[in-house]
Amino acid sequence: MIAGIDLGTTNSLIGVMESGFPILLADSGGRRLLPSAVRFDETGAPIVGWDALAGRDQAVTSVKRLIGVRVGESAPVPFQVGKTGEPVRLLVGGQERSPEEISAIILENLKARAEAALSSKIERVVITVPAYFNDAQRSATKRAGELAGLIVERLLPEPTAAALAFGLGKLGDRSRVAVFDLGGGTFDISILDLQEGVFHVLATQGDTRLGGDDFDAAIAREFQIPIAEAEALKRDTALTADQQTRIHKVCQPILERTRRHCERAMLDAGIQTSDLNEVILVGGATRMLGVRKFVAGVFGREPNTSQHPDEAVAMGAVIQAGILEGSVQNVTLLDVTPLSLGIETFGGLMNIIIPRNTTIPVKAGEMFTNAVTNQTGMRISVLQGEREMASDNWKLGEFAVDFPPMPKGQARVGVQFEIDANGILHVLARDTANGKDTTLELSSAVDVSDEALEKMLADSLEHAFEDMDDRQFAEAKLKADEMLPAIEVALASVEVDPSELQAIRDAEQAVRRAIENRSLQKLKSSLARLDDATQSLAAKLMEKAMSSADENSRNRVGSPGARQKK
Amino acid sequence: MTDAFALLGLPRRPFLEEESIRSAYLERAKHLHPDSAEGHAESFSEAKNAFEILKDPATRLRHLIELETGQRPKQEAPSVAGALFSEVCATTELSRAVLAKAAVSKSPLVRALLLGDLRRAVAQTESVLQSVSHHQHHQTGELARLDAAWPEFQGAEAVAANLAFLAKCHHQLEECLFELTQTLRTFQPSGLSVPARMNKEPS
Repeated sequence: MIAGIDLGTTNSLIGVMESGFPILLADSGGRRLLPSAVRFDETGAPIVGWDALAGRDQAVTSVKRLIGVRVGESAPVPFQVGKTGEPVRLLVGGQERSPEEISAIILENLKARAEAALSSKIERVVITVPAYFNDAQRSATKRAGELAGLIVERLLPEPTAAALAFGLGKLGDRSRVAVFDLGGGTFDISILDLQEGVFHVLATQGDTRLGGDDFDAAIAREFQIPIAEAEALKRDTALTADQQTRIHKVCQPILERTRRHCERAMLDAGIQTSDLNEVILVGGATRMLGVRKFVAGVFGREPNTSQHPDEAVAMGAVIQAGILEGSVQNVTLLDVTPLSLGIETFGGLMNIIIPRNTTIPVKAGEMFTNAVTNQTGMRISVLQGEREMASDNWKLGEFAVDFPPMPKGQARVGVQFEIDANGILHVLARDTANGKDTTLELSSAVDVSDEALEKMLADSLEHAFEDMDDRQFAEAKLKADEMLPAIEVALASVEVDPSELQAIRDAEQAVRRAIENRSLQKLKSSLARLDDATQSLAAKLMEKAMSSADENSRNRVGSPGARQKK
Repeated sequence: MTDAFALLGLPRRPFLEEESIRSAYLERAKHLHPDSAEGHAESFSEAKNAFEILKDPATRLRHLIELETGQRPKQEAPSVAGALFSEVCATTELSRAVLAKAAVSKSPLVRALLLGDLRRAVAQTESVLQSVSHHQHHQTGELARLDAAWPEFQGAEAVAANLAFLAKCHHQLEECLFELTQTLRTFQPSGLSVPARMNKEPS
């Protein structure tokens, strides 16, 4: 038997297939949700779930946000220890523990619950992960399962899981769906094509550091209240108009960050919003009315709220478990890798080997050749991400290829990059002589980054000794250099009244004087004055830009669906 | 070489509906996917590659020519390139320049000036995209003409070259338009910070 697990930022669940139907298992108190919280008692024994939350200050929560993350990649959290570039560790219960160890404790609890409910052993599991999790985050999640004594048969992307839960009852229908999954800590958007039992993921996008937690933090800041009260306020349905407005004001910018991902996913999928049959909402944060309204605005249709926000993903995990054990038939899942995989080439550029949204499992070969005679080998950096410069992408690690001594261009080693069904990378070197593959050890960026780390440290020291005033002055001057010519251009195209013109000229004069005198304070204040003085000028320019020139072109903002089909 | 048409059980023709290619692929994928009982990783990836080759009309046509002649088709210069090529280049250059400026601009006045530039870049990109689409439509017609005359394939290389070139242009312009649209959203008065400023009395 294979169990399905949703290992969530806020809550976790477990279930199994029973007589052909997915069911979720409850604890002895009849509760299906297990809060993803862990704390340790005086003896160092772990307390998990609701009981852990009772001692909230000592409890580790949202540990999923830290899994597979290096120090410096995200904002520091309570209990965090470790140096920049190293994997995040937490000092809890008198011990340093990795996020995977904490996650393993949650998994063990779920395993015990399922074994008690079923009176049989659970050894094999499917665990869901955010679709946008990178290689390290996926590998760490798999490791967490192994630490809990489980065989992880599959890591399943959460939106795909939700789509399975949605589509299982209607396998005969042809439909295209978007799954908007906003959980406690992560956001994913996936576009799928469902037909004849095949769940074909066309594109996926996301942000592994955006979720309900961010709304809570923003609300807590706005109202100057603790996080727990902010959570309660977010759920409160009887708010005053003023409270509602303030919550909307602080949550909207966070929500707005999902828009780009939605539009990117639609573009990558090569379809328009009008081609979609449903936009499915899952994840606890999609209970917020503001989120539903926002999604309706982005996709131009009312979202489908038929799926249980907290349970759909777990149900999908159970269905995938059923597919793997053979109890669910006629369902096939074609999932994709969310991030492009590539290697660093000359000039620090990223050379893409497997583009994002490629169906997995997938293999791609690359041939490496010696650049000089008798070169013994080369080190190759493996990257994930969408940016042109290698350094802007996320570095998975490095591997080495060895060349036999040969003239330039004649020693050749074929390397296979394989992304397995879990979305995890394996690198194989093929011996061209005997055709045998050997797995190349990918040293994680942590192991190899000592040198890089020292350099980073040296750089930051250098910056610390640099004259801060000089830097700030240079930055302010850049703004002035941009601003002064812009004023002339603006005045040439828009009329202003004499007093306004005078105010602009005065502020301009002050800016020039401040630059001559190299006075940082005066430059800052005069630039602010210039911004003020040109405010109505800017407004007029905007008005002009909005009304003129391109009447013939539709305003595309907010209507990604208006795009011409490929 | 592998025959992608045969792999998916499709007729060897220049013109195929995208939906029928997809259905054929999904039908195979269902049985070959490593998760299914009779699944087979190597065959699954062959079917996947076949789908990738066939769904793009340009690669499909080149594959077809290679199957028929036993030789890789000649790489021809696309005949539609000419003026269109310079238009596409100019537009992508313009977009990049405006986007680069937009990324660093801080003062409201400079942003206001850029708003016009951004909107003009959007309009220009849209218009070039439209003419690319128009050409694509025409070349798809050529594909249908080839299909009707099949197995004669006079001029097939040229059509393949044009389709490949146009698909690339289309993709590039779509990318530009995406970035421009995203940036424009943060610049327009309906965006985040601007309305508040506009309502304020000038000091």
